[in-house]
Amino acid sequence: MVKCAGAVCVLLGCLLPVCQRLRMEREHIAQLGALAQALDGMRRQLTICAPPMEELLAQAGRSPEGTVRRFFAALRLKELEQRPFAALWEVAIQESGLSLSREERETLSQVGQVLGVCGAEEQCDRLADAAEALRRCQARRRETLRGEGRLWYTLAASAGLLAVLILF
Amino acid sequence: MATPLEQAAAFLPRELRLAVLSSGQDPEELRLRAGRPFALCGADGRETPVLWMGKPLELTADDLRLTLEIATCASYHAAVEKLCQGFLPLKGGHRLGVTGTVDLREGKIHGYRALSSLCLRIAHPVQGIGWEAAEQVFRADGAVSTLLLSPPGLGKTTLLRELVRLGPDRYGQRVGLADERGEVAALWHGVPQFDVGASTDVLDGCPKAEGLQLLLRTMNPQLLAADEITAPEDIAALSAAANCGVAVLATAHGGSLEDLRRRPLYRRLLEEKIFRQVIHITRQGTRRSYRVEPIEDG
Repeated sequence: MVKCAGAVCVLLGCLLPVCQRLRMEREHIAQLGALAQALDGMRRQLTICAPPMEELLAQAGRSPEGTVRRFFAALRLKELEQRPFAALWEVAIQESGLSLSREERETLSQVGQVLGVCGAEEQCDRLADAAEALRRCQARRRETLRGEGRLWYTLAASAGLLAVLILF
Repeated sequence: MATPLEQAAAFLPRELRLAVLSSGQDPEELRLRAGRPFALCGADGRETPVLWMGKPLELTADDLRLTLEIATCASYHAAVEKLCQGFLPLKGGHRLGVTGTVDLREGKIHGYRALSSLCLRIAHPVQGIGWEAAEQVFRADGAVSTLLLSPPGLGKTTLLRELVRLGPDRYGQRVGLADERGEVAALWHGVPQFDVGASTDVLDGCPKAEGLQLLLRTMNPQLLAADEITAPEDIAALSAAANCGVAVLATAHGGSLEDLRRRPLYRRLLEEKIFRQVIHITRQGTRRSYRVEPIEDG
């Protein structure tokens, strides 16, 4: 009985880190999707009625994903007196805890370069490009997760079973 | 309550704001030019450089870009149409004019590729002027259609604003204001930044001719007001309003009635007999005076 419990603990100890790693990856994928959706929403609003930035950010900030919500909430327009919007955008990317790869961060940063300082058409183009790029990143990560996920589970389970055999 | 300078300076980057507020001056305009010193423009039209740490503050293109970002609240896309028409109205009735390299498409200005100068005009609301003139406009038997006349820069718009305000607040009149260029009421998100009276309905940004007709049809005004008659359509609209029994108040550039009669547009204005009197605005030093002259037939 004790040996059984011990074996289960060892197995779980090998599987849990893998589960956590894969959960984080799924959250990352969800974040990318939510970001792309938010950028799309901004583009649509700009196309329809070109509202002020405050309104655009408020709408985008209603994302169902928590980190994306934090990102848009971190954009404090009152701080424009000290730095341009592009700089505020960069600070918000850092402060919000978005876990982005270098390519994804670069894509998002490029949006901040044009938001609020160019005409609506240019902003819409950049938002569309960025949303598309993030969706491509999301699709790649999903594919990788599908392939690698099985491999990691198998390796972890094997390592766990091996540990059980050795120990018991 | 913030002074007009403090309100206007809030649209500047922090360093420039501190420099202006520590200057001890009360300018009419703040002049920002890329590659040149930041300057204040006084009531006499003279510019003095803003000093920071004892030296003139040289501005960069980034300073101008940041100022525009602050003024538009990072919403250039929402402000560009107004900018292309000449200036951006700001909260408090202040105005930001922009020059630089324009983005021209099919002969029309679509925006600015680069900024070279900004002019932040500070609103200094003036009240308590022209009360005697108001007595001649708002009489016991109703308002009298009146034309405010003077050469440029003598305060026609200021007097118009004050008369529009007194109409409801002192004489109980309901006024419709066709504020084509947004200079009289200066609406900010629908709220007039200048006091134009409790019962004044403002139509902002609409061509005068259409605006006067709209106000007449929808707002049931007792007095219609408009700034700067400059086109035949304006006269047609004023004439239609007057024919409906509504008094009209408007401004025109000119030195005298004879001056108006010499110009075809205004000769027609006088021939239509829309206005019953003219208020001449003159200036001696810093003091303005208002003389009422009835418009005789012929």
